[in-house]
Amino acid sequence: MSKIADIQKLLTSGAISCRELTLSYLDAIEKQNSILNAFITVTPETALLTADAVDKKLKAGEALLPLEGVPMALKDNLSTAGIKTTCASRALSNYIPIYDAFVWSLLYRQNAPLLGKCNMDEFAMGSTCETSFFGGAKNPHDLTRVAGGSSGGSASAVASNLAPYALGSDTGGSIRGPASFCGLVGLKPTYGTVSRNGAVAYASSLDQIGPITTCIQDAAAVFDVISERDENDMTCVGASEKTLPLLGRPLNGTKIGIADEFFEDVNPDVCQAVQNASRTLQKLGAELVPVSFPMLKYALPVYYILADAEASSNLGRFDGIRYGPAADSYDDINDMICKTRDMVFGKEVKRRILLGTYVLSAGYFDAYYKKAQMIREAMTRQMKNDIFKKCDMLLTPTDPVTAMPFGTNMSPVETYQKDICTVTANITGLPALSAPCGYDGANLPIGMQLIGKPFCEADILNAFYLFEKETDGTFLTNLEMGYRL
Amino acid sequence: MITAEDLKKIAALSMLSLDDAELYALNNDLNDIVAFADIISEFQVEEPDPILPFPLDTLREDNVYPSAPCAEILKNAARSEDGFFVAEVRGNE
Repeated sequence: MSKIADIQKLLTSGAISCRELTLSYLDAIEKQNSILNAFITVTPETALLTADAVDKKLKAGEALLPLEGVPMALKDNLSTAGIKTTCASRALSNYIPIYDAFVWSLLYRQNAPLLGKCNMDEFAMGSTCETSFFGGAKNPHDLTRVAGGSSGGSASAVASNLAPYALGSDTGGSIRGPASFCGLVGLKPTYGTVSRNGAVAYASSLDQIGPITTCIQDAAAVFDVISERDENDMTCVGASEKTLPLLGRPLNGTKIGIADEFFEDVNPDVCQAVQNASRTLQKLGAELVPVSFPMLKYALPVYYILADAEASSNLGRFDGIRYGPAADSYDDINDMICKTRDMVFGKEVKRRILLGTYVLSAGYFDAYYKKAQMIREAMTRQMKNDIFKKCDMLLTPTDPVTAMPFGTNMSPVETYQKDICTVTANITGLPALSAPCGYDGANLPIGMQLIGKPFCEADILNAFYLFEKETDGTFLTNLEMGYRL
Repeated sequence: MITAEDLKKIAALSMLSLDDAELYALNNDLNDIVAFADIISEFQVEEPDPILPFPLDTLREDNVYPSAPCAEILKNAARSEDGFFVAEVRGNE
């Protein structure tokens, strides 16, 4: 069960050329994207140029690199030199970077044909992709529902087979949430494993880039390529081992923690599916260990305080001077910047900038920002000194609900509560993996999550790999809308 | 409780020029979010030793590299002149 391996087999056997394969994806995108809104920019020239280079290599009988010749897509907050990088915002709607994100340069070196740049919530701020300046990406399982956010376009593209895999970014669940809604695998690596250089920053101490794929093997294969140390991101130390060769190890002796707190206020179908999955993992040799994480009730406030504080600073650069459109009519430079920012930012972005500014302001810094940082450290310690003394990984739902219809009327706080199961991994820097484990009554995918110890991506990937094999890939998405493998 | 006056100050600090309708809507949202976040005040914690988010031996050599091409950078600006960004056009309106 690996789309990447299957494609490479087709290429090396000569059954299809990389150009033909890439054209079939581009053709599917042309036909389907007007419905799905998964891509903001499609890049046929770049994709075909790379495809031709792969075909040349194949003709010369050269062996392929791990991801070579397999087309893919990038979330539109990853910089691509010479190709628009909009962050789904009006502020960067015509922005063309002059350099590549480190992760894109790694994939480019692999000769991975870039099909295009995927839709997302504006500046990655959202959980449904509906805050995109270009309109939300649709869920291929039910076009009346959201694909999740913020990496909704990446998930929509992969679930509809418009791309074999895509990269997303995850600040509070933005890879895992859409993966869960669209029946896909999504990996948020340990903070510091994948370079953030060239990813447009939302909250720098929480952001991490990772793969969205149709199966565990592909997530491991992509992670192994992008988890390189980067000297231009001082927080990035890379991964110390390749995960793909470590898949398939028996689960005997592995302790999987279950904390009741993660199952409170969760949709009963979701609870049931994750509990069923836990029994499958037990059957595979894992020991289920009850643990407790009472600090979960602080996770969302801590996350939104810290993320918004960092966002208010990171988005200070959008002033109408260096990037994007600028206000035409103003009194002075201050007025020009204020009017420009009011013009180019959507409501959710403004809300987060204002909240971030508030929690950093002199009168409230100690009560909110400093306190949140202290709780963050206490949560990290509780994970390390308590939870991970009793178990090797923690099994939770990815999302308390399944994909909701577009335009569901929710207050900002209700929307934020959707992230309850995912933000802890970002706050504590831990790796977390979402994989499909069932369907709800409306036949919508349900995702489960494993949170692992720092730099133990291989272990969480292995556990869900064994689950995927044991369940015969039953829950994997195989909607044949694009190219049929 | 964030008052309308507080929010005007926060908006000014955020460099956002919001009209009255936006201020009103955002004021309600922010008060809801702050009330939701207030749960953190109940958590008693002594100031712990900070956890370093990353090892400090990862600094690169302090080498000089070529700068990015000025003309390419300026292409993304709304206004530029003689190799500079234009921040403000005097006599505007």
